[in-house]
Amino acid sequence: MRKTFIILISIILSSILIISTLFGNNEVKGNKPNQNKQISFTVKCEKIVSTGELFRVIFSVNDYASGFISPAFKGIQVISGPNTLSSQTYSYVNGNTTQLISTSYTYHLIAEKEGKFIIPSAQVTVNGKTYNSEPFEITVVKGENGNNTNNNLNQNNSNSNSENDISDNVFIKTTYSKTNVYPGEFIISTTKIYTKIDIRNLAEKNTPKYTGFWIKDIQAPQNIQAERELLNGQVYSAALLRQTIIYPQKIGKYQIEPYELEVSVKQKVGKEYDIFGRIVDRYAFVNKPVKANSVTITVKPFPEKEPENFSGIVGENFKISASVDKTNLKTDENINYTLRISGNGNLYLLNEGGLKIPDAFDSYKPNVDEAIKYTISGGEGFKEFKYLLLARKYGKVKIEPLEFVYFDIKTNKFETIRTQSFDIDIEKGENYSTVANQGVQVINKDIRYIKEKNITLKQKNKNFGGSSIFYLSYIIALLAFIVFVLIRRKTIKENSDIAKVRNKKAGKISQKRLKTALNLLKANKETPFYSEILKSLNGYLSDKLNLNQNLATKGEITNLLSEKNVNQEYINSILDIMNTCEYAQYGPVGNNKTPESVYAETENIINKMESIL
Amino acid sequence: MNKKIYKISIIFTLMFFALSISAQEKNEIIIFEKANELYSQKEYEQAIEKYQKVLKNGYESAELYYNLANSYYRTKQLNYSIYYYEKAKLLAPDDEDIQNNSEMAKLLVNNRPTPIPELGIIIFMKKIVTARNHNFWSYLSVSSFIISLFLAAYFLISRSSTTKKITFSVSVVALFISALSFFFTHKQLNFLKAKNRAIVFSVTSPVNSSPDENSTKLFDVYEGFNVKIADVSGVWYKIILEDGKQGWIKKETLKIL
Repeated sequence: MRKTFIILISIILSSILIISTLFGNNEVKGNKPNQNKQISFTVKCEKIVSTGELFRVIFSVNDYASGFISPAFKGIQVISGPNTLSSQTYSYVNGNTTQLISTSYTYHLIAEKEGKFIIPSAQVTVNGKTYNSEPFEITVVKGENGNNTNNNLNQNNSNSNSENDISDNVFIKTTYSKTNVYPGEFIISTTKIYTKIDIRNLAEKNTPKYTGFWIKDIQAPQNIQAERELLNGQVYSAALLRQTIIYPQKIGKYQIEPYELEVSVKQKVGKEYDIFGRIVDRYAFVNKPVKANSVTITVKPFPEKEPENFSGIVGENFKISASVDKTNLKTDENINYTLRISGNGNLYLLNEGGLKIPDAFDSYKPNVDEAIKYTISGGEGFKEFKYLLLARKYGKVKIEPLEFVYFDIKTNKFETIRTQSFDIDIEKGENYSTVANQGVQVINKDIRYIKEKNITLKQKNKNFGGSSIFYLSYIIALLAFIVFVLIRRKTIKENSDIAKVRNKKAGKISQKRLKTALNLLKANKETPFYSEILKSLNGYLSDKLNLNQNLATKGEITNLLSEKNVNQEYINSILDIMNTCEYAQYGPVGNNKTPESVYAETENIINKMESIL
Repeated sequence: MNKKIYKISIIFTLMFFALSISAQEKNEIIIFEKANELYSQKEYEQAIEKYQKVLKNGYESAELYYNLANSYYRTKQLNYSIYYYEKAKLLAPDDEDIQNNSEMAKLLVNNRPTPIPELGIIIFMKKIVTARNHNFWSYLSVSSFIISLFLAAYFLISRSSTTKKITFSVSVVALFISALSFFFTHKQLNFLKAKNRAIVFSVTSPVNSSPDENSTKLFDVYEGFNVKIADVSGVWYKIILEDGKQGWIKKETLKIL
C-alpha cells in the first residue's frame, strides 16, 4: 500500500517535471532571437515642415532601452518631450511565437525659422551597450498662411472653404528624363500627384497613349504612398502614380497627351444644422478632374549616316558572345549555336536576323530567350538566340562571325561588335546520301555584273536600218540585177540570131554534104561515105539545136531532142544511123544495111526533122 | 557572167566599210572601258560620270546603257536605273542580262501597277520582232535580198531543170525573209523613235483628271513607273499606266525614253 503511494507520487512528480520542462523550453525558444537580434535605433520625421507647424520626431529602439540622451534641437522649439513609450507585442505566425519589443521617445516640435536644420544624434543604452542614431536633416519652409498655430486639417478646410478651384492644391506632374533623344533611346516618364488637401478615390481617366513609342511600366504601385515634397517653395504631399520607360521608334516631334485623373476632394457644399441647432458648413467629397502637363518629345536623327547593317539597337554597354556545344560532328547530327547579346537598350527590338548559316547546315528558327529588366536606368538584360544546326554535308565548315551594329548613346557613334568564328569539322555519317544535295542554293538576289567584253559604241541615231545606205543597198542590188538581166537578154538575142541563121542554113548544108556522100558512094568509097553521112547528120542537128558541132555528142543531141519533144522513134533512127556510120568507118557493117538504104534513111530523117525543128 | 558576181560582191564589201569604226569611236571606247574599271572598283559615282560623258559625246550602245543603269542601281537612284535599263532594252531587246536586271530594279518600285495581260498572239509577235535587235534585222534584210537576187540570176543562166527549180524556190524564200526582216527593222525603229514612253522621275506625283492644277486628283504615280504618253497639252502629258489607268501629269515629273 505504501509502495504504490510512493510510485503514484513519483509518477505525478515526474510528469509535472516533464510538463514544466516542456513549457520551460517553449519560453526559451521564444526568447532566443532576442539575444541575437540586431539593435536598430532610428529616427522618424517628416523631411519637410513649414514654419509654425507642429511636428513630431520619434526615436525608436527595437528593444528595452534606458539612458536616453536627448539631442540638442537648435533653432527648433520643443513643445513637449521626450515622451517615453515601451511596448511589447507577441505575434503568432505559423505556430511560431515572435515577441516584438520597442521603446520610443517622441518630441513635439515647432520650427520657427526657415532653413535647413540638423537634428543631431541621440543616444540610448541597450543591454549595457550604447547606440547612436543617425543625424537627420529637415528643411523648414515658410508656412502657408503665416498662421503658425493652425494645424494641417484646419488649413485644408479653410482652403476648400474659400475656393472651388483646386488646381493649386491638387495637381499631377509628369516629368521626362529627356525630351530630345535618338530613336531607340529610352526616356523615363514619372507621373506624380501633388496635393495639399485631403483627397481620396483616385480614378484614372486618361493615360497617355504614346503613339510612336514602345512603352513598359516600371512601377505602378498598388498602394499609393504619400511623401512630403517641396515644390516651388511649397510643401505638398506627393505620391508616385506611375513610372514608365518609353522608347521612341521614329524620328519626329511628338506631343504626349497628358495624364488625367479624377479625385475626390472634400468641399463645402452648403450649410446645415448641427445637433445643437447651430448653422455649420456642410462638406462632401466631390469628384474633380485633374490633368497633368503635356510635353513635346523630339526624336532627332542620328548624327551619322546609318550603316547598312545597323540593328536598330540604341543604348550602351553592349556585349556579344557566341558559343557552340561542339566542333566535331557527323552528318545528320546537330550542334547548338548560342548567340547572346546583352546590354542596356531597346533590346526588345532585336531579332534573330543576320547570322549567316553555312550551306552545310539546315537550320530552324532559333529559340529566343530574353531577360530584360526595366528600371529607371533603362532596360538592362540580354537576349539569347539558340540555333539548332543540322549538318547535311560533310567537310570543314566555318561559321562566320556575326556583326552587331548599334548606336552607343555614350559615345554618340555607331559601334560594331562581333562574335568569334567557329571552325566546324563535319565527318561523313553512316546515313549520308548525296540526295541531300539539292543543287545551288540561292542565298541572295542581286543584279548581274556589267558587260565588259565585246563592248561597242555607235553614234546616236545612226542606225543601219532606215539609213540611206540601207535603202541604197537595196536599190544597188536591184539595179545590178536589172543590168545583169538586160545584158543577158542582149546576148541571148544575139545568140538566137546566130542560131536562126544556122537553123535556116542547116538544110542546105546537109543537102550539100549528102550530095558529096552520094558521089563518094558512086565512086565506091564506103568509109568516107559513112564519115560524110555522119558529118551531115551531126552538123545538121548541131545547127538546128544551136550546138557547137565539135562538142555535140550523141547524149547531148538526144537530150535536146527529147526536150524539144521529138518522137522517140525518130531519135532512135537518128541514133541508129549515127551508130551505123561510126561502126562502118572502122569495120564492115554488121547488119544488113546497104549504104544506099543508109543514105535514104538519112535523107528521110533530115526531111522529117526539117518539118519538126 | 563572173564579172557580174564580182561587181555585186564589191558593192557588198563597200557597204560594210561605210559602217566600220572611226577614230573618235575608239576614243570613246577608251572612256567606256575606264568607266567599267571604276565600276569594278565600286566607284559607282565616278563610273556614272564617265558613262554620261560618252553619252554626251553622242555615242550609245546597249552595253553602255546597261552598265550605266547598273551603276545607278548600285547608288540607289532607282529612277535613273530603270530609265537606262529601258534604253538598253530598246537597243537590245534580246539581251537576257538586261531583262534580268531590269526586272530586279522594277521590284524596288513602290506600288507598281500590274500590267494588263496581252493577247497571246501579240506577245508571240512581239517576241519574234524583239528576238534580235534592229541592226540584226536590217543586215539580214539586205543580205537576204541580195542572196535572193543572186539566186534569181543563177536561175536565169542555169540550164539544168533541177538547179532551176532549187534556185527559184530558195530565191523566193530569201525574198520573203528579206521582206519580213525589213518589216521587223521598221517595227523596232518606230518603237525607238516613237518617244511615246517615259519613266516617272519624281519620288511621287499626283495624276489629275485634266491638264489643270485644280482638277480632281485621280491617283499617285511613284518613282520608276513606266508610262505611255498619249497626248500633250501645255506643260501636261496625258499618260497611260501599265494597268490601263489614265490621267494628266506635269511634264517635269517624267523623262522621255
